[in-house]
Amino acid sequence: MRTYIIKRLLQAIPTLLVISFLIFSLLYITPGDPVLIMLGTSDNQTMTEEEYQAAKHDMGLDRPMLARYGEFLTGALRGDLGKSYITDEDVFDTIVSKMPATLILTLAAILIALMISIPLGILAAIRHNSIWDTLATFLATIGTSLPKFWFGLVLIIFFSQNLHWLPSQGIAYPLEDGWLAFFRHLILPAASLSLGLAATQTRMIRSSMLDVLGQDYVRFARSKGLKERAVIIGHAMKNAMIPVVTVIGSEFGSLLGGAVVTETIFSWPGIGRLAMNSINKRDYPMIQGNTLVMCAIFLTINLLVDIVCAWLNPKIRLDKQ
Amino acid sequence: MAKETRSKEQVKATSYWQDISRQFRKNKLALVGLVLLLTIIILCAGAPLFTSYDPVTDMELMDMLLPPGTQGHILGTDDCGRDVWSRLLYGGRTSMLTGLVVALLASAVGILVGCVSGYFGGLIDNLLMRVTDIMMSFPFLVIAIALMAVLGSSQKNVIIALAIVSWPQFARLTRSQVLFVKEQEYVEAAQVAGFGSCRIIFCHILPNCMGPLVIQTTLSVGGAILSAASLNFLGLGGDATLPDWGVMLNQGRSYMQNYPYLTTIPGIAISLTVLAVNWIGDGIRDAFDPKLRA
Repeated sequence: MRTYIIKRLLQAIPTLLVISFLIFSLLYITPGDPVLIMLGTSDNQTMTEEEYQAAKHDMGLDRPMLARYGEFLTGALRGDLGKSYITDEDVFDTIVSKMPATLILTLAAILIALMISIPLGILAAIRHNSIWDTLATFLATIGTSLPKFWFGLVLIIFFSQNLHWLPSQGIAYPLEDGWLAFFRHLILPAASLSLGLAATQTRMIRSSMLDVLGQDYVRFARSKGLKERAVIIGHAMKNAMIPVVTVIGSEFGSLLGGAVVTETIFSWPGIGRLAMNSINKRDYPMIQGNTLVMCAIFLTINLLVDIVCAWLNPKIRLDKQ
Repeated sequence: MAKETRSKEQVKATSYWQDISRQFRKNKLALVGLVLLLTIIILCAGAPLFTSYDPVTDMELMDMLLPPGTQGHILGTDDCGRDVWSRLLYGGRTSMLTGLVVALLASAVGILVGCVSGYFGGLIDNLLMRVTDIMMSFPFLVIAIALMAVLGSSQKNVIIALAIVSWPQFARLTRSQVLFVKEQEYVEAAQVAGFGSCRIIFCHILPNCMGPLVIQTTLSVGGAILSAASLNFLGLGGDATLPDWGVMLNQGRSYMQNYPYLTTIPGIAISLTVLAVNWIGDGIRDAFDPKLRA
């Protein structure tokens, strides 16, 4: 087990290096002069050659790219991602302060998705080829076909504007505003973000449950005279959940991407909205830092998922050694 | 007697593709999807036949924000007095074309990488698969958004950004198919016959890997339409005058309170199109799957 973890950790290093290099070079593959981009195009009209060179030197752009990448990387490892061009705030601190909101939103979305998909997927599997099965598969296809952000807008139109039940904007914190306000603010954005995951998970749980229900040990449990409920919950479900955990890992990336859109719609103060704001203001250090942090979160989650899977299923860790 | 059986067999014999098309036609949802998609394509491709308004230049500020059902504007007008039905039809062209081009570009690049990697193996394979793995470990939309931020806003860049992030899954899939097919005797025969690698890959191996690749391409058209709509909705895509479903949603959002139809109509259009594509994709997948055949 320890060898497996070490191996997976070592594998993550080149990935992180490539990601950080790509993100670092994003600014330099842009058509146009990075100095002018960083200063904002309006500044170049009044700039003399000396001022331009001075600005270039200040930004360190007169040194070779690899040296600058090295600095970016060592900085990033120390939690120093530079300063925002617009607000002059520390990029890393800003991201850290916005992180809890995004984590709350994505975790709530995962919870909602599981609450919908586990019963629906299991129902579809144990009533295979029945009307329930058709209905669950049908709903899952619709869920993957709706644009998440549009679903969010429809939720706002329906629950906020027509029924006035739930707020459509902003966040509330449980300690300051009370738990009720917290949940009332959370429910619409989390529901809209959970849509895609709920749909993929329903399909996943259905097919993995169908697989497991055909196995010998399930037949054995049944022939032992166990009640159907005990067979499903005690025997089948545990093993059917392994692919589900893997899917959560790989879908986490699309949750982070979805969070950018969802947070923009619901004015949710997380890193997704921060990304959009910094893109609109062309705040490059913030864009770079934000993308890097999102990728790092995604990699970490997938690493954890792999380790959990290896722990659940000895075949995986023995195969790869 | 023996003669009779043989002639019966001959009558029954169908080719591989005929089998698949017959399986596909048995699937009702897939057929509904096909009819739905064809209707949408005909409406959008023949847009000038179904509307007399220009989606961009026909602005009538006297007639702005008319509700659906108004005389002359079946789906109403938007905030600039443009006909929503007309923008919907022309917008469908942009959205569907974007989805299709992204899927084709991504599959072309992915298939090429996958073929080279799977056929030659060794160091090239190792290198290409590492790159693919790394690309696949990026959060998809996050990278597309970051790419859009540096490439600049335009519909062309939406296509480039989405194609860059979607080719790796095609590479993976093609490689696994090629690895399987290249062990077959007919490939060995072609090698013995002295054919060049290029000819073997594209004439002998690739045609036998097409099933899963067709499925993957179909399903990724739907995904690409959704992702392009997200980027356009965020205002990262084409300019605001461009008729596109994502752009329409972005504009409709400001009027959500009083004119919700500006938001609901383009959203329904996107959902129906993607739903149709997904049903067709599922139908093709089931048709290719011998286990599901009765």
